[in-house]
Amino acid sequence: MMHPRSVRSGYLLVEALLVVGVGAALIFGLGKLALDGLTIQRLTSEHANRLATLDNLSTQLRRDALSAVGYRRQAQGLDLQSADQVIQYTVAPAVVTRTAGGAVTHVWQYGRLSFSLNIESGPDGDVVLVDGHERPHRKAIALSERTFSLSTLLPPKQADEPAATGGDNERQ
Amino acid sequence: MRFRFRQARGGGSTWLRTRRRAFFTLDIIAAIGLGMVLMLAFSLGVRYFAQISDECDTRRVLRLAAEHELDRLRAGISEPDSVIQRDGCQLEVSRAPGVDVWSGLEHVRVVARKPARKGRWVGVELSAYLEPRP
Repeated sequence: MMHPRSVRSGYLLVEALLVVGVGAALIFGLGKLALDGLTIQRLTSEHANRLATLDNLSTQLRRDALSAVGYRRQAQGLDLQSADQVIQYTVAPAVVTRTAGGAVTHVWQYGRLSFSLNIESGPDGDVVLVDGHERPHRKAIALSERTFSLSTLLPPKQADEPAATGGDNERQ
Repeated sequence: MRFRFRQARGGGSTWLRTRRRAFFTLDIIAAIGLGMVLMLAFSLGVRYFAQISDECDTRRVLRLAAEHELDRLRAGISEPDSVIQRDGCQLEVSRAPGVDVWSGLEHVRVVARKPARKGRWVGVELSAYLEPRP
């Protein structure tokens, strides 16, 4: 049985609307997924750069601590006394600076990465702990908030250390 | 018979028009289904990627925590044979006497564990030979 032309046109219209609606939703979803994929790629690259920054800081700090003969706690960091020079590490919330011989040699800094420094004292030595805190992007698709704690043994404390045990960041 | 053949071959027959529309509808349904499968596969891929990435980061955090614990042991801050909870990490420290060339030293093992995404536990083990404390 053949429906009248008006009924067939109505069916065709409904069918076309359904197809267009579902197709538009599908295209929107696929587009959003593609954008999410690009965002993930960008966030992952930034995350890898942050980890590389922290690795570099860890390597340099351990190398300096190993070659140092003494250390002194400062308000915003620590001084490592090596055989021929004083290496200063200044830890601000967003940047760590290494100064050797009065000149800045290294700066570690990256977006959404903050630092803090603690020194733990024990009977056989002291341990420095540099926390690298990674704040997640607001589109936290694949990465969560993390704190990467870099630590190393320190050389013996120098005698003229000012306020060695009363620092705000000191923790036992 | 001859009449039917002519009717079917002609472009204006109802039979052919109906099937053309049916093929067209099937194409669209298949494309929509394929798109949905693609979306599902991509979503699963993103979830899998997030899980793997989280596990890798957790493993790195655990490795750093275990290194920190070994440094604390060297400095005499921590005691072996203990279980410590720090920053969400569970650290188990055990020791055994060193043998052969390591005799006279203590073999200290630090096992760090932490739950990653979906409650799946990730563990890292580091060990070192340290001088025994009096």
